[in-house]
Amino acid sequence: MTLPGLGSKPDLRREFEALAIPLQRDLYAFAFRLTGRREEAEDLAQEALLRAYKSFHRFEKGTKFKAWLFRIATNLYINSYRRKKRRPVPLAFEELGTEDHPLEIPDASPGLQPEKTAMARAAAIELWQTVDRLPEPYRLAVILCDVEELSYEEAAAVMKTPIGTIRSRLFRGRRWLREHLTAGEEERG
Amino acid sequence: MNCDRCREWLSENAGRILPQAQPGCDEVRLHLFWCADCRVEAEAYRDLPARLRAAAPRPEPPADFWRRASAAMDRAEPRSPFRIRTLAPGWTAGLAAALTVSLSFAAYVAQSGRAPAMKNPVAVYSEACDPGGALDLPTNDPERASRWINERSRLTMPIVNLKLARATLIGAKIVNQPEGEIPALAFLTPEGEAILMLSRDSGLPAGQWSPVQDGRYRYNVSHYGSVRMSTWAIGESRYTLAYPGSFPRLLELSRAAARHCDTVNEPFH
Repeated sequence: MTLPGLGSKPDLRREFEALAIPLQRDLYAFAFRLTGRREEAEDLAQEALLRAYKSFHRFEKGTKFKAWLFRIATNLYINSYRRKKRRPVPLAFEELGTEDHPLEIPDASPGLQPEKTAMARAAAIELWQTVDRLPEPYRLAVILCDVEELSYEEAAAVMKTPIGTIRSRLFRGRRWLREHLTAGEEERG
Repeated sequence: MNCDRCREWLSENAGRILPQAQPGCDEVRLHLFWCADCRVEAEAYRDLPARLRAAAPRPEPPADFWRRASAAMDRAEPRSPFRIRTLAPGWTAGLAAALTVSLSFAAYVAQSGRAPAMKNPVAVYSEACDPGGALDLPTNDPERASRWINERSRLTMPIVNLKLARATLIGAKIVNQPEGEIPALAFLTPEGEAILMLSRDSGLPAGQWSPVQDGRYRYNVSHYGSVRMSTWAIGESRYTLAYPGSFPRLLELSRAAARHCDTVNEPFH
């Protein structure tokens, strides 16, 4: 028997896959940005997909599926982080590209000389490592709003905080980044 | 506008600086016209989100990523998300207090036939139900538990002489919500039926009060798989009663439970 408001299982599955399959790369990349490790990212993304599927009948159609899915992933991550009582592992260089899993950092300036491209990539990696050193609540706010481009409202829903808190965390996070990036640039002359 | 205020504005509006019309934009423009230092700062903030997006790692998922996800889904049913977990002994009294408050409220609603007007939070026990939080009851003795809860939770009215209804605690469930795991208690009534009581502070629509007018709220019940649930909100927190039967029967049980409770704070007047 199909309960009120619920479709049949094959319908739900098809509907879920139609929404989730196009987002699998985004989800995995998002999980990687949160955890900093491939294995943890895969576990997190897989678990998020499974939970989303199990709860899909409660997904409000017409709302943004990506925000909902990321919300699940973020909460799994936060819960896991709390359980482990540790900061996420900062991204390591060795995680940022292996022969098996080359990491694609988009080239901001195509057409540059190879050495300049390499420098741009190194700068990008350094920038992201700076992001990883952000205090956790600020890091999450920056990733959700500035990287994933969620609106303040969506990020507030994901983090279950008032919009004012998101704005404040973003403000502090961006300022922290600015200060540390500037300091790093000054050190290099 | 001074430099500090300007830089604060720039940070809050990173990536959305000129020419978008944001509140305060004109003042910032004017300040930037005169202040070279802040112009440098503005450029940096304007570029920041784009730089972050460009620098963000975009690893490809493993080739079998979706196949594994799909296999896990094959094994799973989209279902009412309950699973049983044994209750830690120390939780009993604290969560029982929460149930008592909940049942009293349900009884009140049943008697009055309408939702109470929202006031300041009367009982916020979600903190006490938080598995990662402070719930570490030192005793199962109701009086000491009451005292302990009163000292630690944000109850604006104290629980006095805590006694649980006739329902017997049979275990705890962890409810898997998309937002995370939420603790719930399972009680067995003298009639041999199970009641679940869970706390939640999420905004997911499993049934909730919705404002109607003049501070009045309409009570909506929604289906949740084969379990019927009712949710209400007190202040910022939401509380849910789930009962695998009809809603009138739940209210009947709640009334019966309330009659056996000495913990009636009559919080809603």
